[in-house]
Amino acid sequence: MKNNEILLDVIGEVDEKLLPELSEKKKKHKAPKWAAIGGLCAAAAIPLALLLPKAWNRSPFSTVGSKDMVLALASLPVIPAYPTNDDEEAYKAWSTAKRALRDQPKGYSDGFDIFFENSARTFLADANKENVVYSPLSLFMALGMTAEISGGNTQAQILDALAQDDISSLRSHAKSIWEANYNDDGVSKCVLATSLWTNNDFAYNMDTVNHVAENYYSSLFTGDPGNPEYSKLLQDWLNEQTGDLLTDYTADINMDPAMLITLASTVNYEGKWATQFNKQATSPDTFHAASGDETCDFMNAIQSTSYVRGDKFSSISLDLEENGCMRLILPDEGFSPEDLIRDEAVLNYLSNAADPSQNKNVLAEIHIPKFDVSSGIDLSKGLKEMGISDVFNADKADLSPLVGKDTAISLSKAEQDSRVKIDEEGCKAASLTVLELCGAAAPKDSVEFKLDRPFIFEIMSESGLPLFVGIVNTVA
Amino acid sequence: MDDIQIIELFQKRNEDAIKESRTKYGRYCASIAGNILHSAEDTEECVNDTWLRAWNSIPPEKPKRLAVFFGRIARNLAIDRYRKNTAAKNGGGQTALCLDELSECIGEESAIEDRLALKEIIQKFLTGLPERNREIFLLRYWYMMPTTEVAKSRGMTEGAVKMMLKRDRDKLKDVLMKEGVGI
Repeated sequence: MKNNEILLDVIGEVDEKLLPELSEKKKKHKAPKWAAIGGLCAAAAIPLALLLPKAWNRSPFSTVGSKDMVLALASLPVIPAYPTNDDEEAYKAWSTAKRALRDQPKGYSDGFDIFFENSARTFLADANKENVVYSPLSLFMALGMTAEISGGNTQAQILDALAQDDISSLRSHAKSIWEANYNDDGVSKCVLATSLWTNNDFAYNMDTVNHVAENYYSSLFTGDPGNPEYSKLLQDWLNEQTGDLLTDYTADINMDPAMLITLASTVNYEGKWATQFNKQATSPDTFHAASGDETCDFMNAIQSTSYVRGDKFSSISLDLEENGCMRLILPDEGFSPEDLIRDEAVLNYLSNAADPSQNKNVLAEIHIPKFDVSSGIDLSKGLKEMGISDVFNADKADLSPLVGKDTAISLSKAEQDSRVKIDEEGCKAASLTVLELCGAAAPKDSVEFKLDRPFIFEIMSESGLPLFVGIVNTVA
Repeated sequence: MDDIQIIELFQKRNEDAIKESRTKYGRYCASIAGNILHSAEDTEECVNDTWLRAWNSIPPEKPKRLAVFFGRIARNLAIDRYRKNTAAKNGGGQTALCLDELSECIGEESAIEDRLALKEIIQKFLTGLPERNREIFLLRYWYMMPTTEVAKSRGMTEGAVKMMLKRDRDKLKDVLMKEGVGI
């Protein structure tokens, strides 16, 4: 008998006092109340745990030292609330603030498309009939912070994976990407947040820590990783930054007592459909899931939308009020979403804002299942496949900019938890629909677009970067 | 009929014990065996064998929790049948998936000889888990419930259940490695 079979047998012999009732009452799932569409991502919590310390001596660097766990909270840009009436001054203030953030140097996102295509292929191509949600933007930020505290070949591998020439271009690109995608005006939201969690019993190069905090708009915390209150603070921070949408995942995130530093990156996105779905038109229908037919609610509408007929897929794009769009990609019969993710042309389509020459403005009869999908991705294997390997090996990892050369540490955990949900609600500011559609050519053709089998979705920010991409294989 | 009355029927060798057990716990046992076997025919046979095995065990045994007592018998019978089916290439259900997942936490370099020691390690590991994690772990690897069902029963998303199981398997792997089991 194999060891895993013995293990299964032995689990069967566990004391009956520990066994849960099979028929326990179902607990009501806390369905978060929020607007029409949201992508949440408590992403890439990356603890760097101490491995085989060569020395635990105080380094010449200054120590964090404070008993207070909160050392610094990120100071975020302020965007005036979106004007709810015809107040021209308020609109001007809102518009100026947004434009200031969007107005970034030319080429600020260079390399992101290459990183996106490689990482999306790595993390989505093996969905294996399950749902998977991935936030490239959140991982980019977490890896960027890791590059900042790395040196030598460890840093070079991360820069290669991020398709950045050097650390200074990464730094400026990351800052620009952060700013260009930030939005929180009371109507729509795209908040990127990062944080560093240090061990108060260890000496760091605080120049490096402060440098990361400044360039990545990070909050800074310190504490004893063995203290449950410190883990609780991390969970609370993640929950706050993700609007409590990922509490199922964060409840189980605890710091290793040997943790030296944890880098956390989140994206909290919330938008409203530019054109409202009528709740009365929602009706149950069959979704041909990867593992069999399922019944779920479909939102039905006839809308003017941009439509792309690709080689192996068709796609529509639904605008979100002042907050980018969602693209829905339906593979042609005979192809799965995973097949498409492996296809260079499709990845290229996903990584770029819509090319007007590909788009056709049509009147579409659309049928979209309401979905609420989430997944937890263990990033370790995929990151190694992307060439980031040294940081996982205590003998090779160079994190000297953070801890000096006498301490051997390595990346012990890397994971990303994400959730995306759509429904009909939240589309209240119809006036913006007009603004969005203004200037578009009148729809000439009509198509039917029915998402009744596994598909790909993508939430693209207003600045044209993919915030979330995912595969929906089941809606049950 | 309550459990004490059913146990009394077994002790008095009254065959109504089987009828009452089937009525009260038939679906429960079928659910456990079904998760493992994924075959209606095999599941039914397994559940029928459960009453027979219980008939031969009570007395002398006097179960404290009758549901768990029957469930454990059904689970063991189903796993035995699964192994036979697998040998005949007819295996299926959740067992293969559970075994695959558990193989992440235990090596095959050296065969396990001391099952009692392993039982003690597992007992300690599970006792040390937070209650919610322990429930999820046992729903998956004791009841061999599909992750979708675990998620529904505890009001969680399937992704969260999988991530919780993954983290707990990692913890178990660390414990087993530290104890030198299967290395």
